[in-house]
Amino acid sequence: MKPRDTMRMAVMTVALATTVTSTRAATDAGETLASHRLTSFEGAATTLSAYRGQVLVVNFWASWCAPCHDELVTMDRWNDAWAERGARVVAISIDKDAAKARRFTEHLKLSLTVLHDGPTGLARTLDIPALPCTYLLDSQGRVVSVVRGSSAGELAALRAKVEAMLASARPTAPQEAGMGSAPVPSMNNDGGTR
Amino acid sequence: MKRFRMWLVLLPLGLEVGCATVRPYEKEHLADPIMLSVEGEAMRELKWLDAREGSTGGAGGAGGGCACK
Amino acid sequence: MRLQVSRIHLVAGVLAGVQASVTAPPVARAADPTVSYTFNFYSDVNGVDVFSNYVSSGLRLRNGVQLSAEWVHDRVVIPAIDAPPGSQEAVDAITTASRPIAGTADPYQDYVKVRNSLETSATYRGYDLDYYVSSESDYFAQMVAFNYNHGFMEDNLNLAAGVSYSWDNIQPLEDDDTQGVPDYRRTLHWNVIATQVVTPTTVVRLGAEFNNVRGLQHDPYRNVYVAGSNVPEQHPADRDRRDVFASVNQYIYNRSSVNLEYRYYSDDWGVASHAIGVKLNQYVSDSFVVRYRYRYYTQASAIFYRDDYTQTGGVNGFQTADYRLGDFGANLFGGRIAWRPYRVLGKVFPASAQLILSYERYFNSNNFSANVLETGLLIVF
Repeated sequence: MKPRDTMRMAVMTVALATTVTSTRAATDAGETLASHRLTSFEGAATTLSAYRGQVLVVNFWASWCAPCHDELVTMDRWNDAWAERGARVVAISIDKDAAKARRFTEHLKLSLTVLHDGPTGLARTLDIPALPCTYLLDSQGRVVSVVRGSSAGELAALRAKVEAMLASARPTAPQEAGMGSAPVPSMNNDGGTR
Repeated sequence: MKRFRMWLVLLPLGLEVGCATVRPYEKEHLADPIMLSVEGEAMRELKWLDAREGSTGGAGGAGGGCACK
Repeated sequence: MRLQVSRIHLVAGVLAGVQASVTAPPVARAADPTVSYTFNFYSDVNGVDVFSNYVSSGLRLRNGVQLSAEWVHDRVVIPAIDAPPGSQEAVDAITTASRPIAGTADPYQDYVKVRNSLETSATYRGYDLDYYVSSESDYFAQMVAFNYNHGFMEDNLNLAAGVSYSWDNIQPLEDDDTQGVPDYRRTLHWNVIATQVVTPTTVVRLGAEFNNVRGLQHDPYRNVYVAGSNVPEQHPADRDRRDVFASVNQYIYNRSSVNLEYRYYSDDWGVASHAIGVKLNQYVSDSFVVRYRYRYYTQASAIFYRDDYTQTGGVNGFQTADYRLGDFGANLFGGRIAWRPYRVLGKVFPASAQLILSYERYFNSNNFSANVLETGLLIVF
């Protein structure tokens, strides 16, 4: 085999291994996100698997993280806009004190779904790389992307991705929603609601 | 001057000895107001201390440690 | 002579999220203005009173640029001089203002000096640009500064560097023994600062600063007794000043924190000093925080400083009546209360409002003492 061919094979092998590893990591993260038990401020337990069938934006935040504040308000507006279109935002607080996080969301008058998990739950299991940190999941619960931080560019890119996913999505029958204020859109055989 | 140069060398070295990486979800206490200085306080104090003492300095600099991007 | 031009050791960039109380409020607008007002009152044993008003505001634009401005108004009241002309006059406190005597300025009445200053800054992604200007009757100062900071190791380590240049124009007021000769002062300053998160509850900071000062650095209104005669005060026109400092901030699990600070200073005039301080913060309730502090300071004198000059020509042509260049030690004790009144007065104050009240007592080995009272209100809209 010529040296050039050997080099090509090596590069392809590395690329393939990286892709497999990334895909595996995304699948693992998706499964972790789906199965981890979360709690509402009222004490009711749920998991993110309850939202399978929708595009899910999972935002990790804390009341002590100033950049998280504006981002939450932005995502609250997104959630309102996507409520009937098959996408949802779920905000997970990693505050140690759930009461403090609840007061904060009431002050912001958020209507999106807010759950509490503390700093040693999902955040540690996933070892989130920054705060705020946002996971984008497709309707099958697979992690499509991870957004570190809250810059205007990153948020715009995230929103564009969700819009693209909604535009290309073929609706499937959703599971019953466990929590949240927005009703799950009903689906029918001709392609769902818009 | 020699002592000053010594500090300049020790300054970057001392930081990395025994420092583990603290994860962003572990930094709640670092963002507590009691860990932070009041805006402008150090400069206001330096202003009158400079007028009462023959030396100056030590009031400025960035704060680190949140990893909130 | 002049009201103190603060060496603007600029905050090179507060990492987003750390100062939650002074950054983005929970509103949907891109602009998140903050406004704060602080009143500071200084009064010392020599009868000098200084009334300072600080008004600052901040705004964040949609493109991420943060703009801020601070206006400071100082009013210094220097008491009447009891001693005859040519003896050591009263020197002010907070502002280092001094006063002309005789001539059009009646030395036997209180002398009032007013200074206004404005500082503006623009910050974007770790870059910070500042401009400062101040004006008083005999001193006009300007400064530009540039700072940059960057986070490493997932923002566990922040390195900051800054440089500033100031140029001051001095026009002493004429009196019986002061010529109104224009003069200048130029200062080049740089600093490097490293902040390291060591544990989830510990932050360590190390820094070094250097100042190169050129120009008029003594009081043009002040005379010194040298070998029985009154001669004008004279300091060297060049001064290289440097300091290194370190601090440790530790959170303690009963909702309190302790801060330890140390600074070593030296310059080429021979002045060397150590300053060590401790602060203890404690939550009394969710909205009340009290702070106690103590600071000890010790200083070695300048090469040319003498309590009494017995030879004409001073020391190598320099003589000073500025006690700040001598040997002395000082102690400072203080307490501060910070209160967020929203829970009690939510209809009057927004959630972000914070009221501060502090008192500090300073005294040194020269039998000098001073009281400093400060109160302020910060609101984020």
